[in-house]
Amino acid sequence: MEDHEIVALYWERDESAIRETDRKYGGFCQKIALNLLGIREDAEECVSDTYLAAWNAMPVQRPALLRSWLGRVVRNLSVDRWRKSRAQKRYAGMELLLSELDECVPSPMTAERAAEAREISGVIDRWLRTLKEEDRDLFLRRYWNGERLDELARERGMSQNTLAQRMRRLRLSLKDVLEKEGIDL
Amino acid sequence: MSDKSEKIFDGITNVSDELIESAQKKPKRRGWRRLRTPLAAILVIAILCGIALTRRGLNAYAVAEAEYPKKAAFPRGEFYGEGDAFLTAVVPELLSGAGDENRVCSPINVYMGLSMLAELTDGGTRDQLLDLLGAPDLTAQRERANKVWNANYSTERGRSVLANSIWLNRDVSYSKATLNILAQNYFASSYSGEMGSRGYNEALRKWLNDQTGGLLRQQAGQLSMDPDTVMTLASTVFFKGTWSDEFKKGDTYPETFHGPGGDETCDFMHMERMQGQYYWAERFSAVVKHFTNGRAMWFILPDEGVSMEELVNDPELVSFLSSERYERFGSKDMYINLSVPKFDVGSDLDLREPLRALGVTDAFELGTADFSPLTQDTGVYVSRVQQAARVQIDEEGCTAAAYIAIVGAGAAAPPTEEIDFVLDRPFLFAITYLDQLPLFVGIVNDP
Repeated sequence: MEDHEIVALYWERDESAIRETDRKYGGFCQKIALNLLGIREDAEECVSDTYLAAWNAMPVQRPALLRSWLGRVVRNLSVDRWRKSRAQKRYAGMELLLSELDECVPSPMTAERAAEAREISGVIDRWLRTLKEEDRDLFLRRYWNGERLDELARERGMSQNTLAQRMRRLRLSLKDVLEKEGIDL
Repeated sequence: MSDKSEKIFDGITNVSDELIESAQKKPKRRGWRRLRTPLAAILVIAILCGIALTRRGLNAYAVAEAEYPKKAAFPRGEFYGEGDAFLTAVVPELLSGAGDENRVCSPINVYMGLSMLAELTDGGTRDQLLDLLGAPDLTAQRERANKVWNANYSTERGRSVLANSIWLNRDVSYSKATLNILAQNYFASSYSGEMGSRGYNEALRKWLNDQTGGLLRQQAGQLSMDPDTVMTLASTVFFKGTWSDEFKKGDTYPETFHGPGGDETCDFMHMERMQGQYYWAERFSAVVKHFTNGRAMWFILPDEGVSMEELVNDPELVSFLSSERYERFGSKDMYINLSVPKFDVGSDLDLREPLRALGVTDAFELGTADFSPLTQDTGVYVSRVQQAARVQIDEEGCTAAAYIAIVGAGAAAPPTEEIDFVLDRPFLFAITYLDQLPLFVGIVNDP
């Protein structure tokens, strides 16, 4: 079923919208939540909450690209869950991703102005567009989808070591851009 | 790790949709690309040749040819469940009496054929058809049939098309207004020619073969219109889909199927730990496997000791096949170890007696049948209603086709999280889309 047809079902308050969403994007959402949290039960709850969020959001919203819209919701819900529960649980996926992204944090000495999350997004968005397509996709698959390095390496037919070095270069490049843009974190 | 990395994480969350969408595409491997290119070219050439030949053959008879939309608008408004009454009536009638044979029929195909027939009739003849279709009047039925057509039309990621046509006797005058209604609401093409002539019969067969991907070539080859035929209504459904999660060819191996005619060895496809819903009712259990184009195939296994005849007459079965499926039946998310035989099953059904049994009698009676919206000629009645259907499944997916030609003249909940669902004895299947009338239902006695 096409995205606009699924969205139309939400707008008609037809409960089959959730079944069709699950059919088409259930695996995608599940994978993101599992990548970030690493605990199947918690990931499944996040996906269920994502469907509920979709049901509550449509109408009024009418997402043009349902996959990225759902992906963003499940990502935010997973992060919320991680934030609430990190004292009790260790979510391996999030811990690892954040420790890697630490390398992108610019030195406070060189940052000259405050930046909101939206500004950071704008900078990252522009930076991504300067990258070669393959690098851009790798970065997003790793840090947006939260996919594992070894899986990405296997898919691209390269060693995990080579990919890890490549990702490190990308992170340092992002750090450089954030510093140049004067992002104060 | 720091709050700062979390801010970057949040920043990444909100980058543009187009970048995220683009990143989801799996990279293509070069070796695959080299292998696939020549095959794609061959397929394209074959399809183009087929279309060119068909057009030349049919154009000589065309009064009006339906033009399919590039993409049908998905119908708005509530229409699920509107075919439930019809389904409840026809499924036991069409599936009963299969004996040791396979049986395949297409409820949606019968529905469209009878809807078109209702357009051509009036008085008691039409009322009987509308009663069976479960519609209050012809206008309501026309709207429903149009929605069903649009909802099922898809040429993306597989193919699902309900095609209709009407074949007229060139010596009889017809109402142009009625033919226009069929063209506009049922996307039905009209043809006119010399009944009984070889050319006209071949054109009908060519149209049927064309619409059903050649899957019913043998049955279509036997179909002919004799010189007394006033009109033939042909309605087809063709479905081709790829499993969203294909069976691995290496997991296919011979096993025993315990059919009513004795044991036989056939190739079984296997899928271990398939995540999905397991459904159960008093006399049967079921699992579903999805296609990439939103359609799904249900495998329904009668409980041990329940005969196929008992199952097809079980009111719970039609309820399960209808829009009540998700509300009324127990289900559990489980790991399913699915074993299903590769099958290629078909049947050729004469629908006159089942339709009579369902209350459609006037259309078959000379002198009683009222075809006045179609023609002022009296003495028109339905002399034949035939449906041919065939369904094939393999590791990659399913191909299924049906045509209808009307010629005028409870069990307990599963105890574990994982279940073996082994279809090694007669079972039932259904191909569905959302909660609409099933495209196909069938009995596999001999895969």
